[in-house]
Amino acid sequence: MNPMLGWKRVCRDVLFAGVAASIMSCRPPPTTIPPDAVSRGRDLFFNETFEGNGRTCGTCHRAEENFALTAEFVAKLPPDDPLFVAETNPDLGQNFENPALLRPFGLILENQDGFGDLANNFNMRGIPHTLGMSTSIASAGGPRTGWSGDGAPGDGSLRSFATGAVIQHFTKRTDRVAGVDFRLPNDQELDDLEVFQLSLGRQEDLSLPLLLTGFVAARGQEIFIDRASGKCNACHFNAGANGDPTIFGPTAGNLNFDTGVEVLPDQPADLTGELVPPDDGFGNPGMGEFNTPSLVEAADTGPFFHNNAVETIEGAVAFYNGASFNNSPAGQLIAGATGSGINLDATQVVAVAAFLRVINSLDNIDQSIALPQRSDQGVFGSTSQDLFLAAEEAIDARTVLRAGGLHPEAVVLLTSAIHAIQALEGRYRAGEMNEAIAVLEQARDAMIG
Amino acid sequence: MRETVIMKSLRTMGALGVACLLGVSALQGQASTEQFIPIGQSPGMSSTYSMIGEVVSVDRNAGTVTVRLDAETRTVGITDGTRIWLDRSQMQQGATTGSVADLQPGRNVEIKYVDYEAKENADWIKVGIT
Repeated sequence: MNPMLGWKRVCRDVLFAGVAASIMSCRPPPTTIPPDAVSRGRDLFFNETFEGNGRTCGTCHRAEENFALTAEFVAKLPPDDPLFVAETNPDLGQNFENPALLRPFGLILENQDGFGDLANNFNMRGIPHTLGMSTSIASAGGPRTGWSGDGAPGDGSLRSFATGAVIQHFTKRTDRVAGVDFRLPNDQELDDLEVFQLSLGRQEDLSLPLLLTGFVAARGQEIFIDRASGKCNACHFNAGANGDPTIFGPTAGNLNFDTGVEVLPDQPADLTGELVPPDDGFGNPGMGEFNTPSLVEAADTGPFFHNNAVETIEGAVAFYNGASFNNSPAGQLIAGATGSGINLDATQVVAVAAFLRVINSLDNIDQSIALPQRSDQGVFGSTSQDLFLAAEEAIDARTVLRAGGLHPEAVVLLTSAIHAIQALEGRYRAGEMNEAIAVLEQARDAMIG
Repeated sequence: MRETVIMKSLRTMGALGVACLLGVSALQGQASTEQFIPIGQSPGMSSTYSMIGEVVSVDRNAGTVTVRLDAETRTVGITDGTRIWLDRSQMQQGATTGSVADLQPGRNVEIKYVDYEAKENADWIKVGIT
């Protein structure tokens, strides 16, 4: 079967007619970002506890961790960090978090399917980053937030997400009484938090193919796009979070799929013997589906999937070769549409991962360049913090390349840029920053024509 | 075998299409944390998506609840999928799961519609307990 025709027949005919008639029920991202709202939202995000247990949004979504959290970072935190309230607040000692899974794997406890049986009915999920959300939330079925797309109460929007997060994660007790265990965010706070979150990371999708200079990454991009081999671009269009509009329709946006991650054998959390109930994903009861994450930010935001099941980006790509995926509803969908499942050999897996590493590094460089310039608009509020984060982005850009053995010349340039940016902390000079930016641009030019 | 695979794909895509279509007039809010939000404070809710009023009566045979909103009354269906929660926040107590028996005349309720255009059936009902 011609893969292209297969996709069109199976997907477009069945789905397009319905989706095309749908109206986006989520609010479009603002075309301009009000600096005051960003600044207020930033303060709320990092400092507001909502009179709860001491946690803020930034407790789990750390700026220096790409607004996510890794086990390595968790290991560096002091014992009294609010992340560990389950260990320090006796009222939260049971059924709020599981330190045996939080500390080694960065897994957070969620009660997606209700609070009726706290001891047995919960999910253990990783912490997703909050970057590039202006490109990744909208769908024809409404806004998709959180790992399974249904993370927000109320109207289900990103604006409403904070209300659910306060109830789930900020409470002083598991009774969760508004006005006693926390206060709910007011309308202004919800507005500001939404604006701040939408300001983070890139604001538009890539347009593939890119003119990549690296042989391996360039080949990885070809495989990524190819509908007969990698088939990745169908659901991760332009390496983002949305479905290919030529397959799923122009308004499909972010899509949910059951990709079989839940049935992966030997998941790290399962190996501990701790209780890890099955996660049924979207809906209540769930449909087993999770939403499609953006891949531009993937390489430096592992571990991967909703349950942190896979540590490396190569492992995450290889997942789509395995039985768990190819026997899943999503895998069967692809097999039916294209005539075969996904079956990449080791060099091809590494090539796709190299592509993902390079586009992540390029995004890191863009963010590193933009951060100091954004400080005037109040995105992070202080030059020193913006410089710190700019250096962190450059470090990430270097790390994802180094770990893949990619672009050694860019790695050297990035090292120079990192040192230059770090030298400016506490003694900012615009001219010297411009020199650092020039080096960052050289590193970028080494990867893309 | 091959036909079966393709049919599965079609069914999967069909389900996906239905899920997308639901988005036309249904809001997919998270139910689990919703129960802890007091009546009238659920974010993004409005008179389009939900209504707040006083219970007038319940018809168990018909599976409906009639609610007074200012000058008008509105009757909404209660289905097996309708979740009923007791909002005890005014007593500074946590929310609990309720039942149709808690829909007593005179009690304040907030009802979110399954389909906000049709306004026929209730997705969830919060019952104010004072």
